[in-house]
Amino acid sequence: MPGILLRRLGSFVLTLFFASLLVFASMDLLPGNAAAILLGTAAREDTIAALEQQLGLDQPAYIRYLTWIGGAFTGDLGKSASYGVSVGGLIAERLAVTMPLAIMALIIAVAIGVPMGVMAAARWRQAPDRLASGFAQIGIAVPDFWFGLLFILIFSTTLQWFSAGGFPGWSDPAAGLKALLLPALALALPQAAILTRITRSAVLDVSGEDFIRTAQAKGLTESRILWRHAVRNALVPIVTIIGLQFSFLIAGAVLVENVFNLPGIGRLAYQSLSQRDLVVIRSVAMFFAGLVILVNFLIDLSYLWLDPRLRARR
Amino acid sequence: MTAAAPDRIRYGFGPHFRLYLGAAITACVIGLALLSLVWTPAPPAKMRIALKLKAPLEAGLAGTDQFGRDIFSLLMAGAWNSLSIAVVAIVIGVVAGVALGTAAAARRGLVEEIIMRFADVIFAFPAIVSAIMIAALMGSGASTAILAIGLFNIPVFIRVSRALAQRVWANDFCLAAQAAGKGAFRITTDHVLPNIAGGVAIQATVQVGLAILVEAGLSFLGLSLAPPAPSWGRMLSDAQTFLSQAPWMAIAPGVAVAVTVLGFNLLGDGLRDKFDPRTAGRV
Amino acid sequence: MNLSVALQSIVLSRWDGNRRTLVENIAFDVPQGTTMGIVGESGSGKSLTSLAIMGLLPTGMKASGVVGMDGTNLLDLSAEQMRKVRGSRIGMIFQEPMTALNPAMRIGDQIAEGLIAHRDISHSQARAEALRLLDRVHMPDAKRRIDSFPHEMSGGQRQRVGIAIALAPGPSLLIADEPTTALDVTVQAEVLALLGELIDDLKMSLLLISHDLGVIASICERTLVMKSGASVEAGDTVQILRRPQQAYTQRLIAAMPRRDDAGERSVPGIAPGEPPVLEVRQVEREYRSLSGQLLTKAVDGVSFSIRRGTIFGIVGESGCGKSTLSRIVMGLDRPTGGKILFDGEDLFAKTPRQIREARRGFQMVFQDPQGSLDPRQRVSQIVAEPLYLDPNAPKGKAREELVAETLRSVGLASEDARKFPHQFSGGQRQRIAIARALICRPKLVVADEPVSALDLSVQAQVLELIRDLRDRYGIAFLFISHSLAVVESIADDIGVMHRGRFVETGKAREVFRNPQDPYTQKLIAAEPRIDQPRRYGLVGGAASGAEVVQ
Repeated sequence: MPGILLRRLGSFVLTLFFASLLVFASMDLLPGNAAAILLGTAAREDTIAALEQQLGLDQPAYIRYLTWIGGAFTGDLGKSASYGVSVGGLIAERLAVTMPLAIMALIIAVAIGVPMGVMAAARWRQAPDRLASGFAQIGIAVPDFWFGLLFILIFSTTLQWFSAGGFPGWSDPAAGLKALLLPALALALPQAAILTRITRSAVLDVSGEDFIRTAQAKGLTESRILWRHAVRNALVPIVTIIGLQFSFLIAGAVLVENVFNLPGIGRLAYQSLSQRDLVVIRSVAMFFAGLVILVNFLIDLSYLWLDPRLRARR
Repeated sequence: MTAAAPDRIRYGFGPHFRLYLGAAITACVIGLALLSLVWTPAPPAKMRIALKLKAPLEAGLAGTDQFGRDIFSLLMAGAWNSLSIAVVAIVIGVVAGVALGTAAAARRGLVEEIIMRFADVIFAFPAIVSAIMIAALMGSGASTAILAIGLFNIPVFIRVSRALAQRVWANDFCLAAQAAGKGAFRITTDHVLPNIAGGVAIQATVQVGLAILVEAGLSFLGLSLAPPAPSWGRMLSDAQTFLSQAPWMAIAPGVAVAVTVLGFNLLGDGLRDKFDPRTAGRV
Repeated sequence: MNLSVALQSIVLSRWDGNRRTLVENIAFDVPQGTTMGIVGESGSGKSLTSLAIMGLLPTGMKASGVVGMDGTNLLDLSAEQMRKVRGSRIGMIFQEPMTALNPAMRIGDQIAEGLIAHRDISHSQARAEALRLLDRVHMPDAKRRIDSFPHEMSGGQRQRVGIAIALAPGPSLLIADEPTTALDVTVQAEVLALLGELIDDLKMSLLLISHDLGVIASICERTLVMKSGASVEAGDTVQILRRPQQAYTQRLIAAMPRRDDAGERSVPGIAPGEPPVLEVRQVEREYRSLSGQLLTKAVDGVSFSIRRGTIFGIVGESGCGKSTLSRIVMGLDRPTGGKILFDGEDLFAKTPRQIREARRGFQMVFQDPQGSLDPRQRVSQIVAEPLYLDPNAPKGKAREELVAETLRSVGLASEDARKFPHQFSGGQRQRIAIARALICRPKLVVADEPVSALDLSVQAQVLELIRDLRDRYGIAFLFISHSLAVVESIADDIGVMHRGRFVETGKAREVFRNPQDPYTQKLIAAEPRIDQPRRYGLVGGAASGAEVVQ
């Protein structure tokens, strides 16, 4: 048991390390470095050199890498060239919007998707299943940012219930939550559709297993068989998909933040791109990648709890 | 669950309904995209300021945009762009992913471990994040979108083809081939690839749909094809400015994306139902 | 309580309105306290019949007729009423003890939840009762085992849990669907002895479904023979086995593997100085952890030899190392000690390339005729695969002719070369696999459980084909099986394998007639046979089988 935990932890750290190398290599080592990109093609040689020195680009690659990674632990990720503030502080500030947004979206998606999928499986090929499957099929196909546009069109422009975007800050938590509600819903709907679909098929798969027949032969009630036996054993594939979908949640967040004009990390990444601010892009990209890796690591750990067979394996 | 199940298995519209509907939608979209190369109701790039922001049917099938361009023509031309980017990206993902995935299944141990770690690392970068990174280095454009989407699909196909190939390797006929003196490479080409081709094709169909979705997002942010080339995502981003005056500008491209993706997904599901009856109606 | 079944039909309706009748006109009674067996080959509808009694038919199937239990027709009950019958009045035991238990639930809870569903008892009472039941099914160390998960137990222990679950709410009828098919023969004897003891002690009735006439004979008073969804004949078990009335039953019994007692088979003469086709000398295969620590010895110093035109049988239970040994003989795995001499030459002294070439002289036949043929290849490609490395292999027309000739030699038609594997039945597929093994005229064929997945009548045909090939081409066979009866009927010499070593080797006749090693004796005693009287579940607990086994 501790062995398996250590091995998973090791592979987590290793993946993180290679991801950081990849980001560093593509952002810092490829021709056309940060200073030149930032200043544009018209810049003079000596201005570029000056900025290079200011950004520490004249140092050897491994020093730069270690400075960057070391900074990730102390929070000092360098200074944004365009904002003129520390990148660490910038990310922390923007996280206050993106994190609640993502968590709200995840909660909404699970709250809609899992019960709907279970219901569809329990009433396979009957009306509730057709309804849920139809929702899933369409929900997966619709882009989340378009949901955002539609919501603005309906709830802001037409009904005027919500403002069309922007974020008032957390000084008034109610107002903050209200501003995040539409974006979170737009982000959540496609995720809910995918979860519905996966939950349904996972529960249906388990329903064909022999132990479900054993449970039926015991004379258990239908709901006990469904929840204690079928859904319990379907959790592994469901949790797996939540992990795999996480990167789409991030992609969706970048888009939805732009639609709703929310000062989150996604918007920061996009703005830094138009400012050509590689120092920020580098850290934001690493932040997203690290988040995906972390989530998948946590999901890996949850298997140990969900499937007793894995605990025994060494 | 069986207790409440009906005596007869009912399939709303027959067992291959999804396949036929998906094939029909996909055929329509591809047909319109091809047609746009030779004919559109109005030249998609032509600005007609006199006709700007006209509602659907007032001018053209789907109205006009802020420059008076015919939205339906733009949609047709956009379909071609979006389809070709998606297909090229998926081809990259399939070729690289299947090569690595089948290699991982054939060579257990260190090779497999390295390939799967590689897949984990690449998979950690959502297409939109790698697109931002690539765009920062070499600017936006179709190749940025293709690279970002293709890269993201490599680990997807590594995982799919490895899982499928492992199932083939578990069969005794691979042992028989080994006994006949065939090496891992020959067994992969003779036995593994023919047996996983169907599964990979089904996954690829679904991934093309997904790629169209992602491409719309990238071009919404201006990371894909540069103007004036028509693209669904940019039409949506233009529409944002005119949301209250011309809502049809936002609705038409969104419907186009959704219907196209729906078509590919239905087609993929339908193919799975048909060729893998074990899971019929379950996925 | 009496069960009286009179099923008119079980019908499968498809989405397009097509209907297929799967079972028709089945009638039998199981009076209180009696045992009844249903025997039949795959597709006979025996399992469907048992599921129909439980009201657990798969979606899309419907049973009509009467399943009478003390005057009520179970088929008329509502879903909720039927739920109350399941478990509390009829308990069911399934075939695969691994998959029949919920992998994510402790076994104590799995037993207790059936009690809670039918009786008004508290959680702790149910747990105490579960513990008592585990003791009742002779679960070793039940106090600790009650909190185990299914994967932490052996197959036999899992099946004991399955029986405890079925017993829990105190039903008066047990339905057991192939309860011992997935188990080793000695474990099978233990489980059958337990079932016999329980039905005798608790005065329960038993409905046992099996493909194995021996299992039925060892425990059932009366028997129903089914074929393709219809009843063939029914009656007293001894009557049916000794004096079958119907042609089908007679064929089934005749197909049971048995050695003809016509005397010693004349083994082909050997030229002086001719080495045996295969000689295995003190072969070992160890598995070590990365740090070099010895984990297991899968094969531990095994020696034997096979002469031209003879069959060497290896018999043993699962995990005894027989499959590892067959892989080593095929050169697919390297031994960690000992030698394999093929035609007098040391196999593992050769380079990998030479090993691959030497393999043309010995071929392999596998257990599962489904998985051993590539579904995407035509029969011609499958059969010709071993010619891959042969530089002198015929090409074009000549190769086609060779494939056709090989197919004919295993009893298939030349035209079958153009077909795909799914167009054949299980027995025909095994013939294709044998044709593939034969095409380069090997001296030795390693057959790993070649008939285990086949129905009795098909099994007899394939065994006959193997005997025929041995005599016609002088091929030597290494025949590996878990079934004593099969090995006894076909092998000239045998080795009994247990924990990686041969506990006994010798002439098959002598070993079976007069086993020396205690393990061999236990194995032979545990094998259910039809020529022995019923031995489990006899009133008074005269469980002779249980004594032999322990």
